[in-house]
Amino acid sequence: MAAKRGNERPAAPSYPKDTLRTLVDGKLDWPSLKSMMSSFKDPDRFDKYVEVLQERVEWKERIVLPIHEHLYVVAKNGNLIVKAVCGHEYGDYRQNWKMKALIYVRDNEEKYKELYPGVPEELRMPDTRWSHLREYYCPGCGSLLQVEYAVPGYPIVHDFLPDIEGFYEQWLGRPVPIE
Amino acid sequence: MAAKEGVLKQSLKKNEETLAKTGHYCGLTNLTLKEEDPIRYEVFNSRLLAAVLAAREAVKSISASPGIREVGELLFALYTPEGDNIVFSTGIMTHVGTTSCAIKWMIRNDYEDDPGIVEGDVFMNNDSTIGNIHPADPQTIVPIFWEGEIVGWTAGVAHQLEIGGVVPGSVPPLAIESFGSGLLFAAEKIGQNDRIAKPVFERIRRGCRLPNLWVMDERGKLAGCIMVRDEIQKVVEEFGIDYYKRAIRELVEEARRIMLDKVKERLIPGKYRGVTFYGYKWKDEPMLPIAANDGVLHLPVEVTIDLDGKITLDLEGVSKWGYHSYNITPSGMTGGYLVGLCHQLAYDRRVNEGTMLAVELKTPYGTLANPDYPYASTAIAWVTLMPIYSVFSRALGEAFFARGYKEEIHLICTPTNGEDYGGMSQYGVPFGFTNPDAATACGGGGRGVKDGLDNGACMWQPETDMANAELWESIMPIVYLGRRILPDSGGYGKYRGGVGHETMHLIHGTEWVTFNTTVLPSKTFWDTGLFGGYPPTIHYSLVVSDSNLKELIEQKKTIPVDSKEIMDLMESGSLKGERIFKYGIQAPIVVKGNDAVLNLCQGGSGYGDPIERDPDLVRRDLEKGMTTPDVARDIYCVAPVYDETAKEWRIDTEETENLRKAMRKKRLQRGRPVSDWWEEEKASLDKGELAPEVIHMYKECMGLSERFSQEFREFWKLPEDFVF
Repeated sequence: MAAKRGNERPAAPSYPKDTLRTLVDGKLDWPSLKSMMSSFKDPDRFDKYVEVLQERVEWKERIVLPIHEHLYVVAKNGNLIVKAVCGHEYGDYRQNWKMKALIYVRDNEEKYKELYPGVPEELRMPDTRWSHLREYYCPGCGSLLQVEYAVPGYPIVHDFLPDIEGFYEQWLGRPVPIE
Repeated sequence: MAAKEGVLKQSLKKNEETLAKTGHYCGLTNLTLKEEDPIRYEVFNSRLLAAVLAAREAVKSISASPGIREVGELLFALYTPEGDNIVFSTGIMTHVGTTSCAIKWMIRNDYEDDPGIVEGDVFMNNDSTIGNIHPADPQTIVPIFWEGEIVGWTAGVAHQLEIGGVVPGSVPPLAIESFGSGLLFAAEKIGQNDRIAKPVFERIRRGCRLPNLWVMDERGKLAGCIMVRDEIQKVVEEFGIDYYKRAIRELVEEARRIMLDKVKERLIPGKYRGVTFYGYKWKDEPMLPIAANDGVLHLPVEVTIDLDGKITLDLEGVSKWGYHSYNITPSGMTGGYLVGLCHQLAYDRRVNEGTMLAVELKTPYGTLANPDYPYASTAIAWVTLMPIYSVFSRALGEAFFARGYKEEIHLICTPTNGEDYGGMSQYGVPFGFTNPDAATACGGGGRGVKDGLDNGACMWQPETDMANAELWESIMPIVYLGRRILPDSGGYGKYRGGVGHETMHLIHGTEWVTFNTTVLPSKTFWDTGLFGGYPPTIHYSLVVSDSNLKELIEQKKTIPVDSKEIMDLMESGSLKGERIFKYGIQAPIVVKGNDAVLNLCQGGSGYGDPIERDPDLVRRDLEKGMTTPDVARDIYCVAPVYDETAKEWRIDTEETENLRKAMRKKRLQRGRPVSDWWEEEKASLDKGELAPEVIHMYKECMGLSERFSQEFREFWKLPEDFVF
């Protein structure tokens, strides 16, 4: 839905949930997507977005903050934990979920060849002494959650530690829905 | 009419103190002009914006250099008397910030006193320690006066494709100190009364291999600056000087507020981290002994979004500066910061110095992002800048995702590239040139809801164009054999990175040229994808030396136009010659006439798990030659079937389901608990089994950063006194 025009400045748009469902699925047609990108942002997006994601999971815990296509911070028994769409739980959201994932490291030529089938080695092969690709899989469903490029020996990176309390209380003006 | 001595310096100091004290630019707690008459205020802003845009378009039309005319490597901007940006044109916008640094440097260094700042003066700067990315982007800076008082500055910046460095072209990789990185102008007064002094042009003519382009561009930029200046003086006349002085400052303060509001509107507060690396190989290259090393640069990024809406970008832990051309100064990093923001947040409404006042950049002293050696080379500073802002874009991508604005997720990861050629041209005269062709049409990074842009993305200049092959053929002794989309060159993903292309030249009309590629790392990645997306493939270039290409052409036989055809034709025996592979930046080699040069323009990074890609998108990629059946099956786990009758690809849905299930199973089998991996990796670390270049990187970064040292020791449970 395009932004409504007011007298002084365009009114903030608000999109139906169906539009957001289509957006989340990557199926929004380009004119609608472009219009969305060029419009003022819809202030009710976060709540509707969380509702759209919530209706798609098979578990009951309330989504507090989506942090990844497959991972959401949810409220469970008075705590905030990271839970995968498939239901696998990773524990306290302040801890790096990668430490509870499965890891597969592409660290030799054989493993890299799998990535580049049918291509001559001279054109694709990184120097494996310096270049590892760490693939993190969800133990619950085998989804590929992150591909981390690292030199050997590099500590696992904690990508994102959200300030959930600050976000809810100061930016949204309401308490964290922890219960 | 000379500016009064020290007025600007005092004013600059006062502005900085007022901002620190009040939190508002120039202490403007109210935007009075905007509130009282918003239409007039908008018209005023539009007039300023139109002035810089018109200058850019006009100069593009009259410029000699195809870098400006075709690629669009040009920017015009307007500044306050103290050097704060008010408006800027499209183009190479990293120089909005660097030029601001250069103007402020002149003010702080008492240019009002010596050499003096007078109406009609022209200044030029391409010194990165004063305010620039690298010497290839000279800024032409002109003060704007009104009734004897300096009321602003305007500047034009353009990339020069030959600057007289130690290697032909604009980004000389052998420049391990500033001395070899090109002809330097350190905030010099190069002209008076709207005329550039003759000796300046003589210096360029004697200091560059293809000087006429720079000479004519310098005139073009000055013409653009005069256009802006004249228009601003008309605006002052029309609106009144008091209105002008207040309004330009309200525009800056308004941009600062808009930026903070946007952050609170679209992102999530918290801490975001990412890292990337850059590998280089100079050990076996013809390099001075002090620089003849292989190495890995550590490029960690921490982004903090605080509850006030401020974004802080902290490079704590980044590698030490070095005797290589990859260093960057804080002014260069500041310029890049605005580009990163413009890609993702600051692309509409008000964008100027105020945008940068809403964010913070931390570049630890002594690192390659803030060298403590005054002559550190910044010739290819983009090596450091681009991956850092790629990681920055991932942080913002995570924030957009969390907030629900998936349409805004856009991985900036367009690893730029180009070919440096030098020697004698087809016209029998010396030349040097960086061919920007392959730099300007990379694959864009994947987005939150769609694929990255194919063959059209460019981090440093979003509006760029690769130009027609014939144009480049008219400048350098080359003939294009082909430009061809390279399938699967973008990172795999649910939304894949945009694909890049291979470009292939025949050296023609000369006995030999020197050749090297620019910017990219050697056999390492540069980027990472997001949420399961992969980085794009590594870079390569390929020279076919002592070839029989001339004979093949004369005999009207098949000639290769991409790497696959080179391989196939050599395999069949039709194409003869020696294949020389090069990876990333290396020293120039001599390539003979009638030999061929192939270069890869890379793709972007991927977003999301590849096995979640819509099979129909894979089918469409097969139809367009963007992917191959092998990758479709092995990576996307899609079963393609070619319908020989209909001459089109179809997808076997059931088999696709099976492949995807099997891949999930395979991952669960081969994936290990991180705790197991940790034990094994720790044992390897204890035994010192890392490559010496990696150990050197850790040692250097731990020596520079206590925070990185502590985190490294904590992660691996090492004793407090552990050192490599």
